[in-house]
Amino acid sequence: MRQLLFCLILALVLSADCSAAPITIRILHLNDFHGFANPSKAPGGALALGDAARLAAEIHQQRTPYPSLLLVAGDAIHGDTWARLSQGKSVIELLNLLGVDAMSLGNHEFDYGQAVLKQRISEARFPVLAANLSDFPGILPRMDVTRNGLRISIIGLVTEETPYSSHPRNMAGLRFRPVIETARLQLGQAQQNADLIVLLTHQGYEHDRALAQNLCGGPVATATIPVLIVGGHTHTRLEQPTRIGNCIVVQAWEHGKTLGLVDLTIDNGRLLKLEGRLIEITPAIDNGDPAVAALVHSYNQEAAELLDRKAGTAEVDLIQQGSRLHETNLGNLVADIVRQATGAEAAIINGGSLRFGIPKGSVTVRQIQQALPFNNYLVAVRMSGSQLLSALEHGVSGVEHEEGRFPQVSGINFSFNPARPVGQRVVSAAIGGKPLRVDQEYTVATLDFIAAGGDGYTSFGEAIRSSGDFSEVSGAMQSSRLVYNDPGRFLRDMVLETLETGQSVSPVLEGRIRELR
Amino acid sequence: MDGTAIELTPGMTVRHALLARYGTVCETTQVTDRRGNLVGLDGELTDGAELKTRPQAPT
Repeated sequence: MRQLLFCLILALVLSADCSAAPITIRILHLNDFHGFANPSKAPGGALALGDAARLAAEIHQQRTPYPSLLLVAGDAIHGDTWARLSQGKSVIELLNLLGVDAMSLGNHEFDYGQAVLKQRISEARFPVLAANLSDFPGILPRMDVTRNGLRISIIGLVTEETPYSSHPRNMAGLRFRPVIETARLQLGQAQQNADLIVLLTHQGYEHDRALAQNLCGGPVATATIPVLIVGGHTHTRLEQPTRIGNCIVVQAWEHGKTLGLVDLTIDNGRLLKLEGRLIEITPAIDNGDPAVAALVHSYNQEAAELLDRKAGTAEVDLIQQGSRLHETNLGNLVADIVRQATGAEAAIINGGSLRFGIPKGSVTVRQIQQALPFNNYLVAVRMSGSQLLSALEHGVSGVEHEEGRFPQVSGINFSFNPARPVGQRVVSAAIGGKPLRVDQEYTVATLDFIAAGGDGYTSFGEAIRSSGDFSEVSGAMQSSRLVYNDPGRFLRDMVLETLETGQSVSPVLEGRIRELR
Repeated sequence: MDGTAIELTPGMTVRHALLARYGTVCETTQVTDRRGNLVGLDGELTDGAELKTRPQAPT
């Protein structure tokens, strides 16, 4: 009996020794892809980077030596034209081909609306994770996988700021719980049966650091096993992993320009070795993955065909020339769309946002893209007549130099004298046909470019800050004066929709802006 | 941005921070966070973010 007991104990000890052998897992990661399947230039870079076919080849190569996971930390399906023209379907097909194991939800995943997102999730051959979002069909809080005997729990977390950074119609009925609270709860449950926790987040690098500090910092850390935080949102090019106690934070820049790689060697719940780096994806014609190259090409062709598609008809030439000097009919058309889309009383856009005119006749999608090449979205603010007047004064302050700030307007008629000193050039102004009153409030729509202070416009920001209920929520301005904000829908798509309604457009000069001499 | 406090509306990015600070965006400008990490111009801003523009090396 004693001999039998001894053998049993020996067997248990031996098996325990065997199971404790260190295991190395390779985590490959991407974030903020935003549909950039084609190469694009990085700020300050001489060469374009990123190329989905080349990225795929790199992923296949890097997956070979170790058991691995490929993770995507949110904001994949919205952004570049390659993604937007199919409402993100192209990206999901791409991620399926890349062999993604899991993806966390990003705030921009909601930009096409909830119905489209549900459809995209149903097309994905990988789970889409967000533990702090309740009641959204198809989204899972976490997934548990085993690689070479290593038990890994992957928990998705999306920024709590999501409700503030998308149009309210995209957020209806959704509730986002605090990230740290959710992470602690999920971690407590998951680490009982895991050797490694991966928090697949989309909230930004500093928030990931704070999360790591919360879970792994201090004398009584919540995390008892290694926690890898794979993040996104701030598009941070983090060359090396950041280690805080048992937590490691990584992020891989943006647009598939780099592939993140982390090798973790774990022994019995302890991190023995950590190596991480970013691999730049340099476009190459001859060594990309052929299946991915075919997919990218197919959607490029579809996009080209779409660009050549007739969107509508212009009964008159839509003239851009002179948009930095005087009223133009293209300026009137676009400013009217901005005002109508936001329900504002007035609209101001900068003449510099209009780049090309469109001859009368059939109008193609490509012509609209060329006329409005910037990814501008709409913002509307309640402001005083005095602030609106300041905006107009600023708009005409550089007219002699044909500055792009010159305003094209809707719901506004004004006259100015360029011979007068800057700041005193507006002679008269009317809103909705009635003289502008400096003490009255007006709802004024504009482009995000101007609202942020582009071309030197400050009135919109001042108007938001001057509200009695002004506050900052997660660092962003909130007040009852910010009445419309939709970062997920671009102006040119709204112009396209206007033309696609089947009505021809025939904007004319109406004397909205009069220059006095 | 470069030591000046700026405030933006929700959903705005590094690109908007440059607009708020300088009124324009030069596509060759590189921006780093407080720890010197490069960030993309479409990177979203979070509370208390500190950004710096980086002079360009000749290419």
